[in-house]
Amino acid sequence: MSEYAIETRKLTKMFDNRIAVDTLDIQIPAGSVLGFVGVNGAGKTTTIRILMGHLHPTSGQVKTLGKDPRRHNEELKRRVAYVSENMNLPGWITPERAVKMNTNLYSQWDSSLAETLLDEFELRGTGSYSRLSRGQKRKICILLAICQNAELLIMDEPALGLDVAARHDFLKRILEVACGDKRTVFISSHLLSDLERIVDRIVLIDKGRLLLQGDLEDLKAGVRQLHFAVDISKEELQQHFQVLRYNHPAARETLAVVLDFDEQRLHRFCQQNPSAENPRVFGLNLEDIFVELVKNTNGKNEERTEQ
Amino acid sequence: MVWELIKLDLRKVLTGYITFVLVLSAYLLFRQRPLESTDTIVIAAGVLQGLYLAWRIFRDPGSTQSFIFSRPFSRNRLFWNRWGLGITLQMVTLLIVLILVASGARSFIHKSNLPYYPMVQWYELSVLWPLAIFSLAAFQIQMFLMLRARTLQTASLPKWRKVATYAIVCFIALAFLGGFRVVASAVSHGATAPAHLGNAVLFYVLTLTVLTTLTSLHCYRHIEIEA
Amino acid sequence: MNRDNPTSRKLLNVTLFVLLSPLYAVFLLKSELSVLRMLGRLISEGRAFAFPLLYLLLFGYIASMVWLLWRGSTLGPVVILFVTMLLHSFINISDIREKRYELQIGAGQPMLGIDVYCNGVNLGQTPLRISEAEFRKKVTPWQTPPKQFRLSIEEPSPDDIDRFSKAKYFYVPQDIFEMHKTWPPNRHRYFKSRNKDIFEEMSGSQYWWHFEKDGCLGLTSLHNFGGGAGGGRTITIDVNPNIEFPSAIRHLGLLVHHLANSDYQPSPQWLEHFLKYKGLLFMEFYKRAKSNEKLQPALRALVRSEFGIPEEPSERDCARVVDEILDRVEKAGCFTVPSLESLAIELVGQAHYRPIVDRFLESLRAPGGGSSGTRSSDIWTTYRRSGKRVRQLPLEQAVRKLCPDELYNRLVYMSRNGDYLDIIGNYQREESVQLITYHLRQVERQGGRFRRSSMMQAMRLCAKIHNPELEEILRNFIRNNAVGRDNEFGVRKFIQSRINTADPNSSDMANWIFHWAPLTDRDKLEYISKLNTSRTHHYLSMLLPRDNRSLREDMIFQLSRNPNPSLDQFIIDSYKWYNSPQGAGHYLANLTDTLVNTDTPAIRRFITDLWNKAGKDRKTLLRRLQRRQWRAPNMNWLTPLFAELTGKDERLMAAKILSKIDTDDAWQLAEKWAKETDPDIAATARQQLDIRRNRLEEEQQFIRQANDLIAGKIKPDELLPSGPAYVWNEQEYVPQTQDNKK
Repeated sequence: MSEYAIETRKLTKMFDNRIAVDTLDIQIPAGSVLGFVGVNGAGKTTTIRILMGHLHPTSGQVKTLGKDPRRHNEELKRRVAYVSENMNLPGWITPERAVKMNTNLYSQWDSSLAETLLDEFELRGTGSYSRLSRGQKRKICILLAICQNAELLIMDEPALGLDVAARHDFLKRILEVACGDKRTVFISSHLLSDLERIVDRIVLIDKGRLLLQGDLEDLKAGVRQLHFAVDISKEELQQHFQVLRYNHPAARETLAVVLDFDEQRLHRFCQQNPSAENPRVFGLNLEDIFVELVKNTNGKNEERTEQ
Repeated sequence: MVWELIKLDLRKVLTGYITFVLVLSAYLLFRQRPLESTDTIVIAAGVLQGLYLAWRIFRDPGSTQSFIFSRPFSRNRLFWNRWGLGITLQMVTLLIVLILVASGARSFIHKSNLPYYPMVQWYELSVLWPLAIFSLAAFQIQMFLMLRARTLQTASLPKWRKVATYAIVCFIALAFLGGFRVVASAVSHGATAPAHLGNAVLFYVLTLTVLTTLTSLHCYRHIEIEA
Repeated sequence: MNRDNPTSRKLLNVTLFVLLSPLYAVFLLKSELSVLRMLGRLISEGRAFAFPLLYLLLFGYIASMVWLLWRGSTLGPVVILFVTMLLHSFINISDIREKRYELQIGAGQPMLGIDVYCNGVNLGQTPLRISEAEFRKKVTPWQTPPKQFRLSIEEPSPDDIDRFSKAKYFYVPQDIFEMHKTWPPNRHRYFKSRNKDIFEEMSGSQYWWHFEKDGCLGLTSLHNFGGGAGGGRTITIDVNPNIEFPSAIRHLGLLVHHLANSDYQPSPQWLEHFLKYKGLLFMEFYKRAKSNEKLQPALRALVRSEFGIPEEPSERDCARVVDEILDRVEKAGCFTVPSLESLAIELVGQAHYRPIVDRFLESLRAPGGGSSGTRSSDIWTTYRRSGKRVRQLPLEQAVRKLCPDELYNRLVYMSRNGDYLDIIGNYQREESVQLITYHLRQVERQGGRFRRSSMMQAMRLCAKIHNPELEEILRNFIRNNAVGRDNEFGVRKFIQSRINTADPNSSDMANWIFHWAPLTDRDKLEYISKLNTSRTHHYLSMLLPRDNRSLREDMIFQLSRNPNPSLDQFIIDSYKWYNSPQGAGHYLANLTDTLVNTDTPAIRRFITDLWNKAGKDRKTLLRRLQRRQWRAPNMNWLTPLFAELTGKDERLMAAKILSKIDTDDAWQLAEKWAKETDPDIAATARQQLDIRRNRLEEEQQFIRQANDLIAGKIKPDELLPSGPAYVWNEQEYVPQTQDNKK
């Protein structure tokens, strides 16, 4: 069994002449809970569909649970639970019948959990799928995915349409799943505050390209906002740090967001720039980190364009 | 496990199929003349059945595609199950018609008002042939064209190309109709069908069935699933 | 996968190509529809627009076959269909609209395979179909008329001013194509020409036609060699000349003499010779055999000899014969009843019907469609069908006679479209009655524009069914629906069919015709007078108006040709009337003939009464008998009465009648009177004996001639006396004389 639940190597997907995914290299260790984030049109859904074998890559390789999703289609579908952004069930099916259907389809199906979730999500006796509300529809999709007891759970915007309480329950359940042996969770969502609470790894893509991937804690530890009461030039900062953002909010003040902060690096910087002693250091949440990273990427692209 | 898949697809077609079978059965039972292999209504019914079954079975409406294709079925299995369901339902129709005719129901109903019964009872089974052949051909062609369109992603073509394609299809349809007219004109002026036309038609239908099935399977393996 | 994947695209296009392949197959291969054939013809005719169409076709075809581009697989059939529609004139191109002419000769004759010649060139055998282009290529017009052409062997009456337009010619002048290029067709000149103009008009013709069959020349009149023409782009000129073969009558006469001389047992040589000329002789022989029982064995022997049918044929023999009949019918494209083929298939069917049933079932699998038609006279009917379907005709005829049980259910099934009802009607079953009744009721209910044609068909159907259980239903249908002139033909067909089959219930038939048949009194009279029943005379007297002299005379004339014993009283009454001052002796010649021909006890009593009255009545009778042209052996019963005559005048008149009686008793009396003392009577008797001797010598000559004919020493046309011929003298036709004879 592969140590990586998901692995891509120079994965590329083009639609006509438009690049949707561009030489993406990601490795998701088994047992991790991964947040897959990016702006609208970054290529998240495309990547997920390739992982599920619903799309075929233009070039590159992809392995899901160590297998090529195109060639080991049926086997992988037993081991992977999937909730897509716009997934719908047939309109005639009721939640109870959907549960029963999946009970027959999956040998590892957790019936008692399914019964519990039916009550918890208040889906019992609600009638056929076409009559459910948007939130209820998402709940049943999530229920079917969770109770599958799959090795890999892939979810694309799973909480879309859920109310606050439902999102809370959903996150709780995901954590329970994540605690299972070597069960990997792969979530793509815009609700970064929710993701921050449950994921331990993060992958960030933009315009089909990988921006970064790694541990969330490491990322959060590495991204700091530094506030200096003096003017510091960008070049000086860049000698020591990977600068994501740099500006002067007021005269003789410098604000910088750096990606690779640690105390030693700051100490070295301060030694070289005595005027920059005792800067104020602030941590950023995932959402802020995401915005900084994306802006940084767009800024670089604008510079390249101007050049 | 396969039964769940069958149930999923069967549920899509069942209402329409049962309605169709009831209407067809009523027509076959109460038609005021003996059944024959050139009955245009039966031929039209066969075509309609084939088109309906292919369209309903192979079309996944309203974003259910990602649900269906993420269930634990390989594409091969999914395709063969759906194709097999379509063929099976057509055979069920034939079986129902066979039972209706062979049981003597028509003889019983019409004996007092039509003098052909019961002598023609077994000959009326000739109605099975056009029903089978036209239904099969329509099913295969519809399945193939649907999957071809999905494979070539015609939905994402620019508008002008869609219009041009529709125009060509209409022209071909008109040309087919024109061709039928030409053939009818030749026949009315004394042209006769070739000696082994029946064998040629059978060979054509079988070849078409095999080729469209295999091509559709190929398409099924390679189509990209909507999100 | 997306649309640019070459492998997938090729696979899709191959499948699309196979899907559209019937278009290619039909329009490229099927000859009647073949685009390539049409283009080939257009190119050979030098039509300029054919070349661009050919290039367009080839381009589309190559694009789809070789490249299999996505454009090619749809472009190919589009181009082919477009070109096909052009060539089938969906698009109006004036060049395509130019008319073509075709001539069709002799489709309706029962005698097929008549050689057609024009200007000495053999164009083929009937039924002949030839286009104008082919005709002009083969036949060179004659700038001057042929030096000689002949009339029929019967010299038209010299007094008849229309004798030449009514006469029959061996060589017929007719510019048939030019005649039909105007509307109306210019064929009236011969109808209106009088004798002095006719040869002048003939001399202007550049095309001279004649017909031959088995080496014998055929005759046809100028009127008969016109024809109708169809419309549309190809105009078909349909000519069905009534061709006679005068040598055939004489030929047959000799053969019948030969047969009679050998006790009506045909020798193998006789059979072989007859069959060599069967096309010319069969129909006339059949007619004679119908009225002369003694010829029936020879007719059966002909059938057996023609097809090699043994006295007790096995099933294999029957199968072989049936196959041979079907092959012949298919080659000829038609089937005639009666014919050797129709008699043979009935003969073998009576021995073993299984081969017929098997082949009938097999023939049902032949592809449908195509044309069909019927031509008939009182004696024969010729059925035509196109393609392999023609093989069904003799099988249907046999099945109609045999009514095999194995075929019944299938026939009932096929009758749902109105087919084979005539066969089903002949089955003696309750279901058949119900089916026919149902069908006729449907026809009665049908309205609108289909009513007329389906009524005609229904009446024809009634005529073909001979089933006692259905007779009443059929008659009621005819009676209730034969309204109007349109259906008169159907009624006539029905009644004629009953008369032809010698219905044992003919008194019932006569009763129906009189009371119920939807015919005029005149028509009823015509048919009832053909029925020999106890009620015939009664009906005739009801139908025949007393004051309608011309109708009475028509009846008398008809009865003189076709005697009806049940109308003897009518003849007697008519004789009495015409012999009275009111009748003024008019028409007595025909009446006397009729009296003599209708040999019944009542007529004998009447004649005996006339005879016994002596005086004027007896003399009138003798005078009439003397003037009779034809022999009448049935007058033999008069011979003893002649022998009792005492008066010289009466004996002289009676003596002149002895050769007309022509029986042993008559000749014995003649020999007795030849030795009479009265020289006039003796001389007259000896004259009669001379006639007999000449007649016997003539008979022997006939037998010798027949032997020579059978041995092939003389040809049938040599039996013809040379008829009047005319020769061309550079300006006009003049009668041939010794001087201008070549």
